Amino acid sequence: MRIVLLVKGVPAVGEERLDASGRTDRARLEPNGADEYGAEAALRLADAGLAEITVLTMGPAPAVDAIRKLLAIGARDGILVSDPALEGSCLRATSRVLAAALRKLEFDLVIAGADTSDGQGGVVPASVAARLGLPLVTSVTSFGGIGDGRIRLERRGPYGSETVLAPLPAVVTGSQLLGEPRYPSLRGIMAARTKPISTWGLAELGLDPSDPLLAPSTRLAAAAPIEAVRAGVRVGGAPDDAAAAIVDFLAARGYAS
Amino acid sequence: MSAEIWAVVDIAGGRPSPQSLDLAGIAAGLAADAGLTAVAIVGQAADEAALTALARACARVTVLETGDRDPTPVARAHALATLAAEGTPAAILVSATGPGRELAGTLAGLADLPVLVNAEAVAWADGGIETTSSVFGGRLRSTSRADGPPVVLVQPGTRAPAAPAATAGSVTVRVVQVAAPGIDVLERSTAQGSPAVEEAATVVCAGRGAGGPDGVAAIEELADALGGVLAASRAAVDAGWLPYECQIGQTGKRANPQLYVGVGVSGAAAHASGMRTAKTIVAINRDPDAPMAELADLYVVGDLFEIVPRLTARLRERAAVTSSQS
Repeated sequence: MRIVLLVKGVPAVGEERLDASGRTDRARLEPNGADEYGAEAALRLADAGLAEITVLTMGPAPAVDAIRKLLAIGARDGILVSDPALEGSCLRATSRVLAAALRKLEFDLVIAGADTSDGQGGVVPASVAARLGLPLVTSVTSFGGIGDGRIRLERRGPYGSETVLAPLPAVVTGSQLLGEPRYPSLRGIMAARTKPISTWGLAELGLDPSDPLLAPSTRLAAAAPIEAVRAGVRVGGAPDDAAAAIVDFLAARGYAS
Repeated sequence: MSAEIWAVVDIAGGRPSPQSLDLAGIAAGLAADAGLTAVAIVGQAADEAALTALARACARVTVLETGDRDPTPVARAHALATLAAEGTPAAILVSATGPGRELAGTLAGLADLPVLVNAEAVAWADGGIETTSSVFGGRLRSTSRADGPPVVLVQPGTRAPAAPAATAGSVTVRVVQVAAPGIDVLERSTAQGSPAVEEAATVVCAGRGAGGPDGVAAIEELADALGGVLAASRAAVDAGWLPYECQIGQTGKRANPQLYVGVGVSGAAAHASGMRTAKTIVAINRDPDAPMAELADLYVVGDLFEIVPRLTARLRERAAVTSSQS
C-alpha cells in the first residue's frame, strides 16, 4: 500500500509569533503534532511490510526539517511543495496546491492530522478530499484490514466509536488514540540524510502563479497581544474555608443557584 | 437578487443544537447590519417545532432534502455546494465542531471558497465579514477578513447578539441530489461520557491530579451539582479514567463555556488552548505554581480530595435551600 502523509511544518508550540510582514514566522519548523499520530500508525504498517510512506509538505524552505524528521523515523521519501508565490497562502490555496500535488502521485491512502497547532483550522484534509473526489474518514483510531479495494477503519465520531469501510484511495485524519509517535534513532537520522526529497514549485504542478484562486483569500486585518486579564484571586487554607470561598465566588458571579 | 447570510444548522434528535440557534441568531444580526437576508439551512430531519424556532430567528429557512434523514457532514456539504452555486450567500456560518470542520472543509473545497476559522465574534464591517479569534494558544487576538464570500467556522459558545425582533420566516423545501463519495458504517456504538463538552455552558474538568477513578467520581459529582458537563485533560484520558470524547485541549475539543472548573489540571499550553476563552475560570490544584494559576480567576491551592466533596455538599445544600424558598 502506498501511503502519503500530509504533514505541515509548524513553529514549536508556545513559540508561534508573527514576523515583520504580519504572517506566522516560519523560520524554524517542526512536524505538526497532530500529524505525527497518523505517521506512527503508517510506520507500523511499514514495519509489517504493508506500506511505503511518502511525506508531502507544503511550506517555505525550513519545512524540509519537518520532512527530514519523518524520514528519520521510517518514511521512504519526501516532497516539499514550495514556491515564492505561495508565501502566506490561505486554506483555499493550500488545499488547491496539495490536491494538485496528490494528482501527480499514486497512492492508496492519504493520512493527515486533525488540525494544526499554528492555524487550528482543521479543514484542509476535508478540502483536499473534496477536490480529489475521494472519501474522507476523520478521527481514525485504528487501521484494520484491506480487501476488495476497501479498508476497515475504527473512528471516533462526535458521539461514539464507529467501524467503517472506505473504498481506496481515501483521505483519513488520525487521532491521538493511534498512539504516540516514535523517536528517531541515531541510525535513522543518518539514513534520513540520503533519502530523497523532491522540491516541486507551481510549475511542476502545472499551476499558474497568477491564478486568482491561488492568491491569499483571507488576511489578518489586525492583531494584538492578549494580556493576562484574569483577576487571579488565590485561596488556600482549610478545606472547609476553601470550599466556602469557591461557593461565594461562584454565587457572586451567578453560577451557584 | 439580494445577498444572504447563511447559518448551517445542526439537528440532533429532530431539534437544532443550542449552538445552532445561536448561529441562526448571529446570522440574523449580521443580516440586519448588512441589509441582507438571514437564511437558516437545515440538512437533517427536523421537527416542525425546530423549523418554527428557526423561522423566528431567520427570514428564511431552507430545508435541504437529500433522501437521507441523517446525512454525513460530507454529504451535507455537497448539498450546500449545489445550493451555493445557485444562490448568493455573502457568508456561510458553520459551527466549529469536529463535524462542522469536515462540512466546512468539504464545502470550501467543492465551491472554492475562503475559510475564516475559529471565530469568537463575527461582525459586518466595511461591506464584508470580519472575525475575531484568539490564536497562538490564546496569546494573540486576531481580526481577519476574506476576499469574497467566506465559509466561517464559529466557535461553539459564541452567543447571538441580543435577540432582534422575531421574524415570521418562510420555510421552503429544496430537494438536492448528492453524489458524495460514500463510506459504509458497519457498526456504531455510543460512548459513555458527555458528547456536549464543546457546547456546554459549564464544564468541570478532571486532570492528572484526580489520581484515579475515585477522584474522577468526586469531580463528576461536582459537575452534577453545578449542572455542568464532565471533561478531562489529556492526562486523565491517557490514564484511561475518561473517554477521549471528554478531552479538552489541542488534540481534543475546544470548550468555550461560561464557567470552567479545573480540578487537578495543571493547565499546560496544550490544555489551555481548549479552555482559555471560558468566561470564568476556577481551578483547584495542589501545586501553587501550576500554569493554571495564571489562567484562573479563582485559584484554590489545596487537596482536591478534601475540597471537592465539601464544595459539592455546599452547592447541593444551597440549591436545596433555594428550591425550598421558591
